[in-house]
Parts: sequence; structure tokens; C-alpha cells
Amino acid sequence: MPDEAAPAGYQPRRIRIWDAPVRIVHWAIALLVPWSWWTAHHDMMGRHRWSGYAILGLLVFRLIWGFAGSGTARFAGFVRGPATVWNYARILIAREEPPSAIGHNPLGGWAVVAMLAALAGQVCLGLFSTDEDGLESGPLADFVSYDTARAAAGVHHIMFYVILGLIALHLAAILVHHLFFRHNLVGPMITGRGEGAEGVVEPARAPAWRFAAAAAASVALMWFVAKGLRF
Amino acid sequence: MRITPMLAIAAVSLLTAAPLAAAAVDAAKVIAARHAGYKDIARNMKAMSDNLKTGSPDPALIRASANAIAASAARIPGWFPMGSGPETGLKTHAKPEIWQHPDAFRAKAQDLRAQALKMAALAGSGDADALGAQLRAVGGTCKACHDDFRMKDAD
Repeated sequence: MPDEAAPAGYQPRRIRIWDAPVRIVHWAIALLVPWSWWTAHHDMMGRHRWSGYAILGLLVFRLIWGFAGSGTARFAGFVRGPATVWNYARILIAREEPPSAIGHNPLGGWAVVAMLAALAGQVCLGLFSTDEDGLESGPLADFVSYDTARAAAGVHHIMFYVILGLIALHLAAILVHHLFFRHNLVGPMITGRGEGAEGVVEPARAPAWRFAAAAAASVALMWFVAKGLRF
Repeated sequence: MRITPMLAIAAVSLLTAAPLAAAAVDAAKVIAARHAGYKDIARNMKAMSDNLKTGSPDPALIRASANAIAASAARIPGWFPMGSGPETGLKTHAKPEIWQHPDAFRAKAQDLRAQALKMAALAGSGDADALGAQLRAVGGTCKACHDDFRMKDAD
């Protein structure tokens, strides 16, 4: 939101913040998590499995993109040490304006890591799960006993609430940034662009061939797992 | 000898109290035993399902698993004696309908037995597609009975 004290005719500088792959992964997961819940809740296990495979593919892609993607997509850029995280938290608690930077902030970076890790754990548990009757199961359930597969399903249920908690935290953080700091976090995740303060450098963009290679590798791995590690 | 009302009440109390107490002890055992029985069916279902995933079905494994399920199916009605339902307050997903419509319940168990025996008969064919279809038919009888007679999880 433009500052009221800004001179008339002032146009905030718009820069690219998130590349298309990061945004696609984000919104696809935002749709697939509720879809996974819905299909499981209504005994549509075929669709539930495919929803899980899709999330698996997206997570594998995001992992690769965290090393090979555009500037703000890289883990090296947003996974910060405890001192940086603590400093940032203190600034927020004092309701001071945090230092201007683009991409994930030091706290948000760890929230992203937590959400990705929880989703990865959830997908893995689902792969090995079976239902009470031994009728419906994940593609890797035949690698473990019935009792292990049932235990995996039990943790799979609990893990869903962990994910819900992280999503609640994520939405609360967006609200806090909006209410207290007038930061618009949603817009850039949709359009990819947002305000960049003077001196903030636009992140480097990854070339399209790297996106194609990462996407192909992710789909291949997803397919292999979906087929129970059989060709 | 004259039977006084007091004596009659005492006698009736004794006669009814003993079986009720016994039933309360047994219900827990009965429920535990039938859970074990159903888990055994589930393990055999998973064993067949896992084996079919390999694409080269093992006739001996499928025959043994299917026959074990058929044998369990024959025992199912006996797993639900009167007084082992939700009225016990114990953890059970058994619906009261099991005891309200015992013939329908018995027919469902019989369906499972029939489909499991078909599966066993088909085991030697080595036809993965036919076995897959038959396994789904066996699973279908499980589901059909659960729809009518098993409570859904609350979660």
C-alpha cells in the first residue's frame, strides 16, 4: 500500500519477486491439500492416491528448485541462522518496520521448510499406509507388514492436524503482515510482482531449460513411486 | 415350603446377577477376539493384494490366504453373541443392526465366504487380471457388510 506521506505521483517500484514455478507449486499445493482431505473423507481412495502423487511430484520439484531455481526460490537464500531469525522476531514483536528485503523473511523461511517437511512426511506415510481392512493401500504398502502399514496410517491421520496447524500459522502470519505492517504478501504470490524498495535487487531468474529438466525429473520420480517402484 | 417374596427376590437377583457379571467380563474378550479375527482377514487380504502387485501371482499363497478368509467368514456370526454390541460401552464399531437383522448379517458373512472360495478356486489359474477382479469382488463383500453393519469412525 502506498505511503500516505509519499509525494503525489509517486509510483512504487515494481519488481519480480516470485518466479512462475514457485507460484504454481504454491497454489497447486493449496488446492491439493483440501482435495486430499475431501477424497479421504469420502472414501475416494483412487483420487486420494493421485492427489498424493501430485503433491509428491510438486515437493520433489520444489526441492530441486530450492537449489536450481530463481533467487527467491533457493534455500540458500531464505534458510537463515538462529541469530538472524531471533533478530527478525524481535523487530516484529516491537512492531518496528522490518528491514526491506524480498522473498521469504527469516521467520517465514523456516515456516516454509516446516510446511514442506510436514507435507513430505505426510506423503511418505501415505505411500506405506493401508486401511483397516487391507483393501486400500498406498503403492509401497507391500514393502511393510499389515501392522506397520496400519501404524503408518495412524500417524498419517495425526500428521494431517500438524499440517492444519502449520497452514493456520501461515495464514495468521499473512494477516499480521497485512494488519501491522501493510505488507501485501498475497498479491506477489499471484502475479509474481511486488514493491521493491530502493536498492533491492531483482532476483536472478532461472532459465526455462532448468525448469523443464526439474519438472521432467519430478514427474519421472512421481511415476516410479506411484507404480510401487516397478517399471 | 412356602416361598416368601423376599426369598423369591433374593433368588432372582442371584440368578440374574451371575450371568450379567459373566457377560460383562466376556464381552471384552469377545470383542478382542473378533477384532483379532477381522485383523486376520485384513492381513490375508493384504497378503493377496501385495502378491498380485508383483504381476506374477503365487497360487499357493493366494489359495492359502483365500481359504483362511473363507474359514474366518464361516465364524463371523459366532463372533457376535448377544450382549457384545455398543450397549457394553466398550470400544466396538458393531452396529445394533447386527442383532436386529441377524439373517441379513449372516447372509453378508456368507457372501464373503462364497467370494473367498471362488478366489481360492481361481488361485491356480495364474491369471493376474482375473485374480485382481476376484480380489475386488472379495473386498466388495467386506465393504457391503461394513456399510450396513459397521459404524464409521468418528474422526
